[in-house]
Amino acid sequence: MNSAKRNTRWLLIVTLLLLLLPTAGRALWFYRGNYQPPEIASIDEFQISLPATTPNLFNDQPRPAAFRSRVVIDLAHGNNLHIDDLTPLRDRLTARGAKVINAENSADLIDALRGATALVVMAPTETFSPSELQAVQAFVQDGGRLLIAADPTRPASTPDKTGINDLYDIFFPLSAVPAVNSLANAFGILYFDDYLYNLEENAGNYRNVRFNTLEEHPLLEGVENLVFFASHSLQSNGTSLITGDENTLSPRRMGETDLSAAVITSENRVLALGDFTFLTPSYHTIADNDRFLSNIADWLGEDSRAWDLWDFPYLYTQPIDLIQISADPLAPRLIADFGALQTEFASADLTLTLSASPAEGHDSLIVGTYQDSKQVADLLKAAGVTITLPQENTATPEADSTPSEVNDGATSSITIAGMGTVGMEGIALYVLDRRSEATSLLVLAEDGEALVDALVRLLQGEVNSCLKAEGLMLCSNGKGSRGLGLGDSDKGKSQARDGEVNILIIANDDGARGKRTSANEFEAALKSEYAVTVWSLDRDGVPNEEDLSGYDVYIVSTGDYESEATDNDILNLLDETAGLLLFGAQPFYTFDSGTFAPVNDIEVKDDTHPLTDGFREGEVFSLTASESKVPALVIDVEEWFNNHGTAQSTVVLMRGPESEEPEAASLIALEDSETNQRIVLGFFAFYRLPTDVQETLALNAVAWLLEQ
Amino acid sequence: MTSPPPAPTQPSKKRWLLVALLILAALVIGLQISVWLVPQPAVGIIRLQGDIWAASAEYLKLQIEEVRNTPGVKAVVLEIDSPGGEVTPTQDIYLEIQKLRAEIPVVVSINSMAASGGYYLAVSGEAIFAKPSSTIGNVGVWGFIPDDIGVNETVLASGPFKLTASNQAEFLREIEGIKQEFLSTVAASRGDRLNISTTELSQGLAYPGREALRLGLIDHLGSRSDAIEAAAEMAGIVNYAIVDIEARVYQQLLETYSTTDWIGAADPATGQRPQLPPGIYLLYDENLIGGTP
Repeated sequence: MNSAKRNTRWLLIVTLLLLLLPTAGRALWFYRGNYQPPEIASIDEFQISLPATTPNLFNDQPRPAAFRSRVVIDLAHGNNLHIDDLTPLRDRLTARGAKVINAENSADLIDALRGATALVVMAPTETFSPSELQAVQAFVQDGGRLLIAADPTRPASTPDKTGINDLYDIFFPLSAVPAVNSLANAFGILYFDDYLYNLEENAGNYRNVRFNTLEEHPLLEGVENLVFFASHSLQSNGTSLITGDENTLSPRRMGETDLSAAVITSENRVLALGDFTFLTPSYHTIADNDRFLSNIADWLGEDSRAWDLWDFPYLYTQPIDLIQISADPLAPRLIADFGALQTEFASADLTLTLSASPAEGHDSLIVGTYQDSKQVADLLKAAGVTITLPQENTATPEADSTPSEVNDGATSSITIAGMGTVGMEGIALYVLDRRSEATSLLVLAEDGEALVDALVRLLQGEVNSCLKAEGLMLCSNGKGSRGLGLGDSDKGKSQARDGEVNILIIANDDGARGKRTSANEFEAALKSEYAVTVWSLDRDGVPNEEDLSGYDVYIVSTGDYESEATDNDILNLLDETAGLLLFGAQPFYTFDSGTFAPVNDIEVKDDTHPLTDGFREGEVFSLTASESKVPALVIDVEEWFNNHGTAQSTVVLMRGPESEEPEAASLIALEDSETNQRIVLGFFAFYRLPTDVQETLALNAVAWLLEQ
Repeated sequence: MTSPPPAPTQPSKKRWLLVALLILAALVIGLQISVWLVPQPAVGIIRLQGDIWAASAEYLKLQIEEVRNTPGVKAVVLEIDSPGGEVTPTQDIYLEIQKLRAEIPVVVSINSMAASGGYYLAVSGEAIFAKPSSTIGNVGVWGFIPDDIGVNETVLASGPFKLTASNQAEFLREIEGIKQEFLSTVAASRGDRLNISTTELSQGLAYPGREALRLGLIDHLGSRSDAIEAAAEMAGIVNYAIVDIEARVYQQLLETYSTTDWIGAADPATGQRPQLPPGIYLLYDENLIGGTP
């Protein structure tokens, strides 16, 4: 019985083992150990330190600006800024008594520089034209101060077809560095198309760079550290004012350290900053940025300009007496234009009064004819000027004799010590006398008309062709003045002399469609060859038929804005016997029946036409960005022109391969076989062309139009 | 008179047959039990392909759930081919993987790319394998700076940031905070294996696999098989199966799953990104520069 039990027990054990054997076998077959979970690394969230950019309180103590401190702010180069961005700088300048003037177009800028002590150019996105550059260089040469600031976060505007910025535009915008370098290079400064960053020590972000290495310079007085909010690096032949440390790097200048973020050149007259944002609200309150801003305002408020007579009327510092030394018939026109003269002086913060003799504490503007030069003999003698008049005319002229008659065949001349002798005919003489505390400017001309013209020339600063010496200037008054005019009756009228070709440029800039036209570009391209008058609809109003008469060629520039029905009214007033160049993205009103598409480049289609003289077929010109981003008109030439009337069209330029609607007409030459009238039509903004192309095309077009 | 002794008993053939049957039955039953008790171990494959958004994060979490529901999966290989994406979904997946690692080993195998948020997830694994030319790193964060708005006479809010929830200064701090967290996560996860300073890492450079190995951003250059072997070894298993978990989940979701529905996600076929909503991103994408938000 026991044995049976034992056997049964064994049997159960064996059975159990047999039951478990496969499990053990599988376990041994599949497993070689156990997974021991590692200690999962975790981070201490409280160790994460977040940057705090606490604004610093700053008590500005303005240093009074110089008497003539006039700071021009350039807004003529597509400056990528909001007007509020300039508020801190503008406020500081105003607090110092400086006058701040906005220059919103090229002509304004060049004009404003004549009376300016400083020029501020912030975040330009359009290149400076040769004429602008020349004006700025002359301004700095004369002691004017120039502040340039560019900013890697403020690129040139990019095409925006949808109204929504896409990421490509955000990440790869059109660089504004070529624009700023077009100005900065002229003063030995090079902006790199980069940004500075510091991963070790920054103000909350790698691109918010702290600068502690600061040059000892009045501009940095009291400044210990600055924070720039993305800055270009710069290189110059001057002094680096603000320099990065060994950890401040540029992604475009690998391996380089000690990179400059601000430099000063041209005998401390040109300050270039790699960042603009640090001057704007509220970034100017960080670190010592505010102090630096005040120092910049102090620097801009100083007057280090050397004022000469061609800086008229800004060379004056006191109330001015207009003293006429001429007898009649000079007086009537001078008096007629006196009001306009006063207005011009008032715009320079100066007062002008008629006076018989200079009052104490007053400056003077002495005007007269050469016949009256004896009255200012001392002044002329001091300047080394001798006026020689024909013997018979030194006596009192006959009351009814005209100056031209008096000078006929005479040997009248002007002799200037050290310079030689010139004939008097058609010459205006300007002499500046600063022997006393008062400033006196003498203007002499042949007659009353020539004298007024001489004053206008001086007011307009058209003295490039004049012969200049220290305190002296001789100008040939054979060429007329234009534009500003003295008195409403002259507004916008051609002042061209006989035999000259008169061109009227109508700038369609009256605001409804924006202000950017190509009038300045046309003027710059043509003024060396022709007498050019610019009529600004914004400035001069809508012209009437009389205003538009007497011109050989009209250029109507609608810029890159949408044309309106009223624009066609102006076209209807133009003299049909004159040539017409009509240029713009939408150069005439199409009653909403046109189609429109962005244009990015222009290709030469027909190089046999006189309009494309100097170009070759297939040549492609890239256009700069359109400022308004208004698409350009696309027209069917056959439909629009060839099926109507007697005018025959030739498409000489067409849209390039990078444009929408490539090969569509961009420039059409129209010629009426019956009337021989010629019209040139351009369907893009002329200013978007490269400068050299602008000049060639404008000259070709005018030459062709004049053949009619 | 005495009776004769009983004849000795002999086991019958029948009895032996019974015993044999019993043993056989025990073996068969034991085998059955063993299959139930000791299933064949497996290495599960889960995948992250493309951008990391809320939907893709959800998809990966479903795969993790499937791992847990699949008997025998003793290790996981996470295959990554991603440029990253949104911050929160990335962190969401990261935390889920950390939780899974407490149960089974997770090894990462990088294919073409583990950049930005993709690399954030890669460091969640115990070991990282990549190809010599894989794109790895791009540590950092970016986002669209919000506009600062003031007060006006038309809209009245209960607080200064009610409408925007942030401002430019706060946004800067937020970006910096996420950057530091990312760097700390990499530093903590990689530990001594890292041969690059956090400053250098914060540049946001992406490195090829071979360089990433030198810098300690990954552990090995190798294939998915290598990663599977490593995962199995960590789990202590041999003779294992390989289970494509992602394929299973994909099949389950086949009728409703569409990557093109993901807001902001690049189209897997064309790489084009239809729209990028406002947000903060751990994202690197070559196509981004050609895309339209």
